[in-house]
Amino acid sequence: MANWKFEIFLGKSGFGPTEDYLTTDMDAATARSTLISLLGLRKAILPALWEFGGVRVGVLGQLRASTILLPGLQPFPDGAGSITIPSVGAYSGEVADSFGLPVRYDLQLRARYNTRHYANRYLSGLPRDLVDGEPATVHLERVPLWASGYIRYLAYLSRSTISPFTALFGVYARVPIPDQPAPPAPDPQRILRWSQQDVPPSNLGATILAANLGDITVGSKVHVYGTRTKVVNFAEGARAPNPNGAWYVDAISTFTGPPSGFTLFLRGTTQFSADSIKILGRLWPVTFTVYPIEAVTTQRALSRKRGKSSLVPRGRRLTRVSADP
Amino acid sequence: MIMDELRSHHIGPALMVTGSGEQFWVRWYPAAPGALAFPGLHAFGSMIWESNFAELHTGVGMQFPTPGMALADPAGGKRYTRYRWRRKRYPAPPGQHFRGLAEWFRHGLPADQLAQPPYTDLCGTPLMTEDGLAEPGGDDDVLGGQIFAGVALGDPSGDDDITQGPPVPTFQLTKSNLGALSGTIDDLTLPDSAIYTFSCASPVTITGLSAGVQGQLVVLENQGPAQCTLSNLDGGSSGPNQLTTDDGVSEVLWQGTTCWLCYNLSDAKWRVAGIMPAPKAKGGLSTASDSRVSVLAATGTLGHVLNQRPAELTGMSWGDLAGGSAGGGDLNYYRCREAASYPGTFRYYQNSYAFTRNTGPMSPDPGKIFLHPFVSPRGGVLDRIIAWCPFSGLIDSHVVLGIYEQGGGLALEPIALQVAIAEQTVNVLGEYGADIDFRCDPDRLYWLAFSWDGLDVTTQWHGWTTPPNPFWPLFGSDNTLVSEPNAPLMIIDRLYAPTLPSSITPVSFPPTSNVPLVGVRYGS
Repeated sequence: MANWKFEIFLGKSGFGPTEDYLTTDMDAATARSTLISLLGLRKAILPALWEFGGVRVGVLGQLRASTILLPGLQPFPDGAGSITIPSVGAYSGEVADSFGLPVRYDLQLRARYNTRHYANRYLSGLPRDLVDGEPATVHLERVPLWASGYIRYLAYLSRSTISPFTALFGVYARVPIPDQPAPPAPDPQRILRWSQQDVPPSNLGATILAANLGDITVGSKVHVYGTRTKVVNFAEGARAPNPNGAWYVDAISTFTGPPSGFTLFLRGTTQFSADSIKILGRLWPVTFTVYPIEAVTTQRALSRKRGKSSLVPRGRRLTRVSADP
Repeated sequence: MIMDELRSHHIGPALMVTGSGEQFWVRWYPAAPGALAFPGLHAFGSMIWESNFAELHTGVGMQFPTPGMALADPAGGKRYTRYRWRRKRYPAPPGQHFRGLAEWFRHGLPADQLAQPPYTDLCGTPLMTEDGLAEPGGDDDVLGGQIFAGVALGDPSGDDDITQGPPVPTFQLTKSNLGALSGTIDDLTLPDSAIYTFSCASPVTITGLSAGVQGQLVVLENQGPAQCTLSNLDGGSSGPNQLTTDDGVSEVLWQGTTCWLCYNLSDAKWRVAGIMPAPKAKGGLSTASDSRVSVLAATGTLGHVLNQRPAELTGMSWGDLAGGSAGGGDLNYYRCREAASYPGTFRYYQNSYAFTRNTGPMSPDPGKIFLHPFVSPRGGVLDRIIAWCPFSGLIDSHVVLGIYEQGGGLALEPIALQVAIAEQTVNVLGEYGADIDFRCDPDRLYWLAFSWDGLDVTTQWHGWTTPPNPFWPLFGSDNTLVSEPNAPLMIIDRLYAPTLPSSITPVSFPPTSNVPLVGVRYGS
């Protein structure tokens, strides 16, 4: 059982947009059948001019695992049988083909997960009538043939049974920080004290209760928030540097207490001073998990500058090449 | 092999050895056209596709340089904080094989392998053990071709020693018995083998076989006593398991009949490549009591060809190739048959001829190219191709002969002309050919091409009696490939119409004929 990642390469000569789909926990045979259904639905609304460059099938996890399935009959990984990757789309209507133009047309979808969280996803290769006319408004009624396939595609993305809630696809998202409990309940995220590492590299250390260490190990990412530092320049009101933010744990030492706990030394905090922290703040591990998609709705149609991958925001963002839905 | 798809190429550090923190620098290269994708999951895709690509990664595979990681440029000692884009670098590797075991690419190279000499495996399959013998486990696969599925036998002399020169293995196709079949069989599962025998007490219908790989050839042998129908495009089996025939008509395997099927990945179907009857003596086309045919067609004579007799002598008869006489059965009366009336092929008994081809239809269509497929699994040599022209044509009549190489995959399209025989004027009756020395690659399909022009054909013929089988392998009685020195293995020795119509209505032809006949003589 694993979370499978399908990266579908679209466009002409494989240089168009990519779309990635993350499944919920499933075995290889289920992943294969899921991908077959997904490709069938996606092909139905993909213009006939657009090619499938292939599908990258990967497994989400600490151990890297991926492979490429080229168009044609291919073996699905882990001996789950064969799968036929289509080569071109099947939608034959007029297409808002933006090849050669400085823009690309996308349909922005909104996937809901974890009850009240949303993630945007993008769909390329749209009918012309869908993007012509009033900007940012989706007129599905203008493209009934495409819309019928599109509705089926949406329904499949959020296909679920209500009780117990299961879905085929998910969103890889950060586990939200829980709300601070009302007193007198103990705050599981409370930082007991700040200290300075007494051996090089003299990083800043945050002590937490032993019971709250959880899965935090050296190399884990933790988020510090709610700290406040002392004013060091009263004339300008400037405060000492604040350690709020995300850090990697560089070392862990036992704190004898009382109360007993563990001190997490944060990598790259040698310039901070423990003495300057006035309000100790809270700490919570940064963890990610796969939430099943609960619903997918259409947000808007938009055009984006060519050369920018889907999901990339307006500004520069260098660390992510592409992350279409 | 293709490990990942990228728009832009980059370099980055990677951990490759299991349990070792030693970093190796990986640079991405473009793959050559036709490169294959790595089969199965591996750890060496680019990290940019990972959802958690920026998190600290401790397993094998590409690393994303996160702040604090001790990553340094091996040349300059510069610390990297992210991967570096690089230009594409050529030449593109062909990407047909990987060296080593597939599991190494997923779980890392075992540390003890670093001290070993380069691994001799390709795609996890040992090419040869250290002593030069085939692998004792017996699961040796033959690389580089898809014609054979079988095991390599040892030295025929029995001592299994190879003292000099490259090993020349002989091959025996592995055979599995599917047992007794009955009723309608969907999605028939085939064990690992190449020849499958089965029996059936009552008529059975096979609608599909478990899907194969591109170019995979299997042989089905019906040991009877009832017939077995290979159902064309039958929905009873799933799409990739279905069978398809040349003419869209389901084929019948009678008792003792063998059928070749070739898997075609372009349409994901098993193609019925050829059907062979049980071996019979030369000259015995069939007998009246033969359950596979409904009528006795004719009994041949060595060196003669089965002909349509002239109008005054209805029926068919065997004629002498030397021809020229007015008697019935001469080559002068050799005809193409109307496909609708004579769905079948002709048997041409002539020693030392590799195959022969009826060149119909004879509607004059100057410049039209007729193609005849042939293969030679062991790389036979064709030393002469001939066009027979049994008539006197116009002064400028001519023929052109050539051999084309098959296109990619099973597209069955000739692409490259290998041998072209210059045009020859064929304005008189006789044999027109050329001596060649054409060595067939063992795993290729070739086409003998024949075209002509200027023949004064006065009679319109219809149809095109294409033999249903593009492959004509010669088998011994135990279904092993016969090892005749220097002889191509694909020899037309028996052409057979699986189902002749219950009554043959002869077609009347005028006594004069102008039908060329193409034959190819093989070396001996």
